[in-house]
Amino acid sequence: MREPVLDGVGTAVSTQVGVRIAGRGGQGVMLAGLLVAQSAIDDGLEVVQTQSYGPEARLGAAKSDVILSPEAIAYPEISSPDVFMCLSHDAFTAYSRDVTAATLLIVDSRAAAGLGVGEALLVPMIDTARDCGSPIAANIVGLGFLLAVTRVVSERSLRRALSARARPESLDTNMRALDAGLALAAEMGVQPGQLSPAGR
Amino acid sequence: MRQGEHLRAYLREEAMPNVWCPGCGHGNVMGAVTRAFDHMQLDLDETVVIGGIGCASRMPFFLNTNAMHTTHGRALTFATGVKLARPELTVLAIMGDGDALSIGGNHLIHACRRNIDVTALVLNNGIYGMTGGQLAPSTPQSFRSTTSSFGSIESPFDTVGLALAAGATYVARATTFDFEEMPQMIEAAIRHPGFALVEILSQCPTYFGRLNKLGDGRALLDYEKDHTAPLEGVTRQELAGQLPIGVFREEIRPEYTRQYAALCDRARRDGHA
Amino acid sequence: MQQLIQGNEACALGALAAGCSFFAGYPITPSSEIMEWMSRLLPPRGGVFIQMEDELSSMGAVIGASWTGAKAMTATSGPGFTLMQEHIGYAAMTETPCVIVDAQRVGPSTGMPTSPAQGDVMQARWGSHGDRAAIALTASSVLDTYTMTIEAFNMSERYRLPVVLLLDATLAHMRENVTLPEIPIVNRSRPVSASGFEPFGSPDFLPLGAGARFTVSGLSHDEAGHQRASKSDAGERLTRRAIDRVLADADRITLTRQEALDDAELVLVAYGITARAARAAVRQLREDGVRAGLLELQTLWPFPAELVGSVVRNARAAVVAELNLGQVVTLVSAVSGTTPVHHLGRMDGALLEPGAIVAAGRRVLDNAAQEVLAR
Repeated sequence: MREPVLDGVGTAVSTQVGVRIAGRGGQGVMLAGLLVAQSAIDDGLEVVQTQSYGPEARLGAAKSDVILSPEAIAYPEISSPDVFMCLSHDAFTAYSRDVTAATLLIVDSRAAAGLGVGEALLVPMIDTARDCGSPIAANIVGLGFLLAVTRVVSERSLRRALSARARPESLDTNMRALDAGLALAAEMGVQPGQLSPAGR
Repeated sequence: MRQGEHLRAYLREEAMPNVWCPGCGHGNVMGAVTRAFDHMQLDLDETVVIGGIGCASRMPFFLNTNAMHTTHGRALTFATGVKLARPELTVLAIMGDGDALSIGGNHLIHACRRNIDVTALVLNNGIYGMTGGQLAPSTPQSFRSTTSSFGSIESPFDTVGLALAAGATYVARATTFDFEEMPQMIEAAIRHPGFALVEILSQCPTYFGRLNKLGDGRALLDYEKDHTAPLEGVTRQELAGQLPIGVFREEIRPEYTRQYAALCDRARRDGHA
Repeated sequence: MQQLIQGNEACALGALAAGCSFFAGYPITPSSEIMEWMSRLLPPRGGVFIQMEDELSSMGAVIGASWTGAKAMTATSGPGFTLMQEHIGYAAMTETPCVIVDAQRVGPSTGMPTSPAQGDVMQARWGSHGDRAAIALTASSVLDTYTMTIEAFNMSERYRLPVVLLLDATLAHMRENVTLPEIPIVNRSRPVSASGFEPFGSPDFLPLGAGARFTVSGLSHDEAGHQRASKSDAGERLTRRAIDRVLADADRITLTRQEALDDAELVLVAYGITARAARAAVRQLREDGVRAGLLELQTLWPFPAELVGSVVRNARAAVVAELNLGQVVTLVSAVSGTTPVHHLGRMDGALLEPGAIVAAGRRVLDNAAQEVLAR
């Protein structure tokens, strides 16, 4: 597998991108991974999605890995993630072993307390989600932020995937959370970059 | 025509001679099965008889029906597959005591629990015949076998009690001595719309009789007679030392394949993809 | 239409597309989603789903259903696969079409239930006692899982055999984008007439309840189904016939993917999930100027010895990569001639990574070069 060439935070060009989303069970980690994968398919990309399973996933830390590529994906696992979005302290500890200096880290600012997260972008995902009306929408806030920073998938596809997967009664909250995530990136002045598998 | 000559139609002549020893009770049971089939004019093309492994489980070879001779203890699992896939077939599982109660005990209790419309005949001779007279889960305490030379220290299973507790909806016990009642019970069990179990006490002169010095087949029939009593009109005290014979339960509860058909209708109606 | 589908879901959808109308199973990680899907998909279609009390009974029910004419399957993982061996042997002895999916996990025993392995290759062939005809297939992608499930049914129907499809924990649980293709379906052939038909030793299949009354038995038997359990050649005759039926059609049964083999000095042999890492390794080696090629075995049994032998003998060296401590490598080594065969295996629950295969390939090529120099 060709290693992605990262060109500073949030601006990268690559043939293949590995996105890892991790958090506590119940934080919507699986859904977030599926949304990224579904959006990528709509964008015409190839995807492989894997996740932690069984007792591993039930005992606190869960993760979902998505590989996106304009070409067929051979090896199905991420050897080191290009992007790692993390919603909980324990999940960071559990799933950051293969993180490298080239990994773009997006970590919830509360979860990051006491962790050596280095160059991470600390994002108040949970607090922002609470402001949007539901703390469990932190995954969607995170996705909005991840989208703004990386553009790994198109906003249109992500919105469509969210509409298709979210329960009707929570769609408004989720869309607000997505917008809030996008806005957070702008407020924090993070360069909207490209970590796009299509090399856009 | 000789009496009973017409029953030959229910036997598969080309599979004879059968494997049973002189004096064995399993032939009596097969006779009763053919009489039950004849009395109810069963369509043999629409009947599947399934055996496990052991002396009793050889019976499917000798009956002129569709037949499966399967693996030790598992007859009921095959019967479940056949019955579920084609509920209109009449399905019988014929097993021995080691077959049904030991290696197949788990399958037996789950078939009872599901109340699937299969008729199970458990031919209980208190010993493993096919393999040479070893201890069975039905061997009475202190009795001898080739693996309990000093007398068994184990409690035997109560087949009827087990079936009742596990939820079988027709449960009966017969002996090979009960010439008249056995075919009636087998017929009632086949007609019963649910899981039916008939335990049939059968005699094994070759091992059970010889190892326990109880004599030949005829002597064992006398032993059966002396140690059993009709279920009806007998108090518990009067039964002391004797096994009750008769129908212990006959009740209608939802049957599995019918419930499954209703479930399919429901799933279709609710528009599940 | 592109869909995001999990491996286990693809297996269930493949089974339905193949005409499967009966599923019996017992929950076990990592295959349980197959039965969960079947429990939802079969009832509205009038098919039968039943959760049995264990794996022995699951296979018993599958065989019973198959003998009524239904296309029947079960799905399990290592420990359950072991329990099913008794009835897989029975299915072989009685020429019963059925499909067994084994999502492999690390063993022996309970091992690592959620982690991938490829340790059941030999069990798929020799797990039941005695000799028999056998077909075992693999899959390396979600799309593959769909198509190979259909292939498994097609082959089971065509050759009247229990056919095993080997998956693994990673493939079972991973999702990929797929467009499900139309694949031709094979149905078991029926004899022209039931009267006088001998139910065994024939590719034609007559179910129970179709007017010809006979006995299906695990005892050695003759063509008519009469038991021939002592001093008879009937059992061997029918077993040989079943084996020959498979071998005569080996070209059709043998499915492989061959990549860059024409000029390959280094051949990578892999199957299932590991073939993906090997494919990535081939690309990297080629980029680095090493003429590497991949032989992906989609059919493991009957083992395509002739094909593997000719491919490997044409190379300077070969690497067999598999998630076990040496199973398929024994078969490859037996036909490799003078070409050195290196085994790369692990059973610690992790996948073999492309980098490890690349390194093994380089090492074995260097060794081969040194050997030539030493001569």
